[in-house]
Amino acid sequence: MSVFLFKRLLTFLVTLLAASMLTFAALELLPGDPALVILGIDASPDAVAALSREMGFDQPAWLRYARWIGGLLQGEFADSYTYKVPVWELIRDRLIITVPLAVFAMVLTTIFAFLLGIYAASRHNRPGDVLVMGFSQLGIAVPNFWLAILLIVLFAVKLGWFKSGGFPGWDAGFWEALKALLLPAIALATVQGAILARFTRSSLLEVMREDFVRTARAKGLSRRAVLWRHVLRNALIPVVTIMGLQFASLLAGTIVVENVFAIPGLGRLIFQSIGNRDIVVVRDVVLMLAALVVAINFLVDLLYAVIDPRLKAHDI
Amino acid sequence: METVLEADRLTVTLQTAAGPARAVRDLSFSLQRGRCLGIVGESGCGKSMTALAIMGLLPEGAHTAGRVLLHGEDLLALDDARMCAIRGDRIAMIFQEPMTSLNPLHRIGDQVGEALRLHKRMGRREAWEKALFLLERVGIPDPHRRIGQYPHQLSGGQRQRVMIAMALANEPDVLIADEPTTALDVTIQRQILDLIQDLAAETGMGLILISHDLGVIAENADDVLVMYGGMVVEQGSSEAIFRRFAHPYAQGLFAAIPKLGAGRDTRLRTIPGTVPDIADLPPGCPFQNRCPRAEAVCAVTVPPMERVGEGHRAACLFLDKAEAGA
Repeated sequence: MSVFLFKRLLTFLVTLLAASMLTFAALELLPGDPALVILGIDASPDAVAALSREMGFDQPAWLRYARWIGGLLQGEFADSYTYKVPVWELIRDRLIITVPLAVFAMVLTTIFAFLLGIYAASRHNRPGDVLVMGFSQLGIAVPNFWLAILLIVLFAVKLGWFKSGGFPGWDAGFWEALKALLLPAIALATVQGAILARFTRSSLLEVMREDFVRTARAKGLSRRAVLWRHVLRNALIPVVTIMGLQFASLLAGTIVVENVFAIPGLGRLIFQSIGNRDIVVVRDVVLMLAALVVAINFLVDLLYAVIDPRLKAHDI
Repeated sequence: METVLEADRLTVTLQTAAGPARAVRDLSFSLQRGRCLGIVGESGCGKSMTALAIMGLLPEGAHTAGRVLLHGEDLLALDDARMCAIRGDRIAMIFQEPMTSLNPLHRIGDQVGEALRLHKRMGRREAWEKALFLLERVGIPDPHRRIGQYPHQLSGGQRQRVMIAMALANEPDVLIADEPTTALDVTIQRQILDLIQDLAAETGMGLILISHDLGVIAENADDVLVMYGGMVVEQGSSEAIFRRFAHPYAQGLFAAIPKLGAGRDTRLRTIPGTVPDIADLPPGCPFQNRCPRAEAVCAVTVPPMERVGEGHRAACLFLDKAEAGA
């Protein structure tokens, strides 16, 4: 195994370990007794204490932490307090909605950002550029839940093209399911796309000032040809970094939009589990998200090497 | 002798934060086939702007006046699409910084072959083979391996050879070399200049060599332009100019070259003062503030080019004055 991959694996494990400890500690400090939440505030103290003991809360924290991690290592998940099913089943059912939603939103983000960013950079300081940058400022400023509501009002209520929310499941057919994800994906992609468009534009403009761009022009390439053949790929490196961060935040940060569209995704699961003090769900979901983020960063690093031959030589 | 390139009262005005600045003023020259024109001067004197004006690659907002004729066709009157057909085909340019002038993400062969594919409509394979031939010709060792490598795998000298191969791909009529050796080790400088000279002689193209180094110009140029503050202050055949500098600036430039055997007690001669800001040039002679000969009239009169000798002219009101410091 190469040094690069070994370092990466080590980072992955250390990150997960740290994330698991932080999550566990945070949930320990969270006020509210799960047993009390389950039994309701009218329950007798004896009953609460008994349930607490049954759930293992009388045991020391380190033991409970060790049991949690030990279980995960053997592929065993605890049962959710509220749903009474293994946490993995809950996560699985939501991942198949949240991951496609995040991917869909990321695809739209990339399309918006590249079209607008390239257009604006090629008309630097001209009206087209100013207009696009003005709109992107607006896109960043608009909160996505508000945009989500606007989209529902227009496309679901007034025009009736889409349902106002909910998810029919993938069994209802690929296109039907995708259609249900379109409005939420647009709501998410507008903000992210506006941010990425600005990054794409400024990265392109920076590369356009490089000496090799002048060399390419001196060869007789038109401005447009130089942009596509020489500038774009060089400008991608910082853009890809931002895209990785955005995809990670789309996976973990769709809570609000999922709630507006009543989509049973991962965000909603965390949100509800925190409310229910269903800490076994919360800790597993958070740990999984941490793993996903580290994995995405790893993919981004691999992408760098594909884009830039200077990184290939010594790193992988 | 056949004239390939001619500049006729070329003037370049740049938009700067301080307002419009005339980077080049009334510059005229003619370049013959197989000859080398040297342009010399300090940084900021307008050498590079002259080159970029000829290439049609001036920064945004720049204005030009006068004419630049390539085989009689005025390049300044052409739109970008028509200039694109000329750049890299009839006129090519080598830049100062070989480290940053190549695209770090493209292979050498693709970068050298690009101008061939563009202007000669060659296929990928044909351009690659021609690129290999060009790399061999500019003396890149092991070209079969180098052609598939990326710029970061080459040394500075090798990269400048790649730039030369790239510029020569379509056998241009005019090659502009803007400080081609400034960024290189001294030991490599000579090799690169010899290479450019040999190739120019071989193909019969006209060469414009831009440098701040009088030594480089003296060894390589047939004709010389000395520029100061955007103006030509002295112009003539290399032979005539280096026999006797007429303009006080050119004299100062020459006197400032350290001489071997001058003894360690001899102070290095310098020209007092600094290069003027082209956005804020005084009326009259641009060199007045630093000139040992300057009189009141220099502050109001722009000196015209006057004949000094056979094929040798200079722009100074006091050419007859005792040559201070020479």
